[in-house]
Amino acid sequence: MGAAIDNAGPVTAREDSTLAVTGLHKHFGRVRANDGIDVTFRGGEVHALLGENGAGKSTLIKCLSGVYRPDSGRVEIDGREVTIRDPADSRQCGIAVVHQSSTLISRLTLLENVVLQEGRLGRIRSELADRLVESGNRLGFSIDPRARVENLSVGDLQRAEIARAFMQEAWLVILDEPTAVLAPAERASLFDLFGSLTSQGVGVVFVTHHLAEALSESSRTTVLREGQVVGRLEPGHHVDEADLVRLIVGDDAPHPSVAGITDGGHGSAPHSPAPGDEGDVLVDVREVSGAPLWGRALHDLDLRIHRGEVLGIAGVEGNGQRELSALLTGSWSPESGTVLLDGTPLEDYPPPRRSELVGDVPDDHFLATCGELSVWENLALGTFAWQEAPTPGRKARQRRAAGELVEEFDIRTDGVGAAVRQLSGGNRRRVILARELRKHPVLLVATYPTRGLDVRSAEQVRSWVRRLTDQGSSVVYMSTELEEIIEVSDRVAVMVRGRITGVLTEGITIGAIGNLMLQGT
Amino acid sequence: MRLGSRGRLRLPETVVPVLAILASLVVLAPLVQIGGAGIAEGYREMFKASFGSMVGVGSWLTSSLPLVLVGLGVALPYRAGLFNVGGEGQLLTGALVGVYIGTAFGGGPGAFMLPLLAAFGAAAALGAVAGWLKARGMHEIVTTIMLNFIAVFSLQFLLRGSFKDPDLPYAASRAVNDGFRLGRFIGDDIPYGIFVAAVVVAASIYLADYTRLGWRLGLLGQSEAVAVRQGLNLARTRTVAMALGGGLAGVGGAVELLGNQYRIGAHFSPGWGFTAIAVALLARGKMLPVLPFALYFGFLQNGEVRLQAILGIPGNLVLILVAAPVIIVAAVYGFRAYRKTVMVGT
Repeated sequence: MGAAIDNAGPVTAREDSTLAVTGLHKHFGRVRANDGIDVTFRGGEVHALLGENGAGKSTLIKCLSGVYRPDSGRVEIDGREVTIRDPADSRQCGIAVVHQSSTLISRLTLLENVVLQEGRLGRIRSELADRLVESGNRLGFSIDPRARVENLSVGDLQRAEIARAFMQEAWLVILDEPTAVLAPAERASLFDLFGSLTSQGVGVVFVTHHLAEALSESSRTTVLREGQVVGRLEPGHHVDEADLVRLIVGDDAPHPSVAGITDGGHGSAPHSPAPGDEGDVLVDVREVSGAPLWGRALHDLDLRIHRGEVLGIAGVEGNGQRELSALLTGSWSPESGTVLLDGTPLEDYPPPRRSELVGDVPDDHFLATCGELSVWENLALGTFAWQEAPTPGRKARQRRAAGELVEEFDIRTDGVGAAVRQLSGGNRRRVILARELRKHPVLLVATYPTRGLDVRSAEQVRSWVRRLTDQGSSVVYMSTELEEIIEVSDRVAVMVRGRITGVLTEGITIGAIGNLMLQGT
Repeated sequence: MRLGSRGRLRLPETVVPVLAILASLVVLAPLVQIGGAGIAEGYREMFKASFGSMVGVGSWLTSSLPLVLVGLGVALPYRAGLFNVGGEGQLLTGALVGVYIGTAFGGGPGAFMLPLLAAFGAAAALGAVAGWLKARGMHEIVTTIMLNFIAVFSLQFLLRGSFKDPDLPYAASRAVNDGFRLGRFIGDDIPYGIFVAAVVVAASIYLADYTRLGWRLGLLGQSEAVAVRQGLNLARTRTVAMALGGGLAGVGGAVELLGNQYRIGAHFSPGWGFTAIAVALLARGKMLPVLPFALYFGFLQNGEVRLQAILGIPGNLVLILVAAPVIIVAAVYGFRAYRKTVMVGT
């Protein structure tokens, strides 16, 4: 479909290549996701894209990657207008997109994935394998094409995706929140990779919520708010984080202090002294071992959660957090060991009672919301399944209640009747948080609750968590961000490869957590 | 639970099947022409068969009743994401139990309730087997098809043995006693079975849309992962869904038996269990739409005989009218899903 450039052949990376977007509009119902965006991306430089959830970053990327078709606006590459109708067009234009969650099939090897996506017969496997390895080498890392995707770390996966993109002769690599899932060390090597990309004339665009990252790693920064460009930082301009925050959230909006996360305020202990280990125990996890069908194994897990505390679980993603959250919410029962909630085994609670007592914010919103159901139905999901029959009167009441929750939790949606599928990732997360916090659970199990949320929303989530513990409830707070864990937690447990390697009650510093993280390896 | 989203520019869910049915009528027209009769004449005869007289209305309703009930029996599990292909076997099981009770006892006023409830129970047990096996990793499509065979051959076995009416020259059971029959009213034309169906339809709607169980079934159909996190016991919920579906189909068999045929023979069902799948698919797993679609297919079935007898058109042509809308609907939804994948996938 010669949609892209008139038979231009493979696009080569050139330092002076530009992709200029002018007047890009994309509306969903009444929501103006992109409302006249003007932005230019250049080869050979790193460009950071900032903005709150729902500011339009993902929509812009999806328009450029051919997932969405813009309502209006021009896209020009090197001054020539191009039309991007589908992902193939986008690739032909030399644009490679690395989505936030991997698009690789986990049971296949990297090579098999590449073969699958090339979608062409007649290509020899070994040739593709060589090109993949070579593409990795050019970027300065080694790739094993025969490695199974499921055995790779998140960082490896991301590098593999970038290498794959690079195979396609891309001159512009767009990454949607690449650092959200990375451990600090992996983050550093990603930024090294940015360097080697730009030195070869490739442009890098990345979305991030870490302001410090945007300031230190990019030469240009564009800030979006409500579908419009509200700020541009050109090379050489200096700006501090506070100004950036004002741009992101808007001057009129009251914005909370962003200290502690944006500047990595280490070791601060802003709240009441942590309860000791002999405090009032709400949850007692005893010698739990086993693996769910879908996940990794947990080993000899012993953990106590006290009333009114936030127990942080630190660790690199994929070390048992999802399994721990399934264990604590009772959706998985291990082969051996028990979980006592208030002295009674968790599985002895009937499901209605359990769903009342335990709030569940899983790592993936596909585990907690049904995309085809509306916002209000998703907010009433558990209530109608267990607590009260969905009679017309109660449905009307839940609809009204949903309206209030949408206000209170600032869920950006085209009405409570809109399908959750239409919401952005951050707003889907807010729906889950609203539902789980509303029931005032005695235990909230939150797995990466602020992932994908902007600075202000993340701060809000942490204040909701605080409010919950002030009322005597307990929270298990899992995060890969050590600063965040330190800020929010009373005690911190470190999880490595399905084991708890230690629990810190005092002296909670990045160094101490880091030591415990190393112990498991 | 209204599962449809209120997105923009989307046709109401029920419009697609209705358009598909209209399209199928257009498809059939040239075939009727080739078959040697006028199109208008063909449709007029079919119409007359059901609406030409009170007798016609009665026979239309009679043909539709099993489709309504078995249709619900397919639609309810469909809501929970289960595909019940076992309606035929469940219907036969219900009828068999009905015959057993209806011939063993004398009956009396209100006695029809007994075979109806027993039919529900027995067919529910059959459905539950498929649900139980699903929890152990066996797909319900495979198991319900196999259970159909078991039901069909059990019937044939019984008809060669203890169930056969010794006074008949062919293999059929004895007729159920008068005290169990459902009978007809308004000049002996309209089957009393419509009241049974009305109650069952109302109960199904209530169960599916106004109870916690119904909500859980819908939740499971929407997302297994979310259902698990919400604390649903998948094995139990699926077993319940299949049991309810089987039971409803079983009542369908019993209503036909007690209200129309009175005895069960090898050709008791003209394939209601399979036409019911079409009904449930067009109804998209919702309860109320089962009613109009079942009545429509009942109308086709009722007209088939007349088409053949009066116009000499092969009645099998009518089967095209059953199949075509399902294919069209499947194609429309399939195309939408395909487009979605292409747009999002790389």
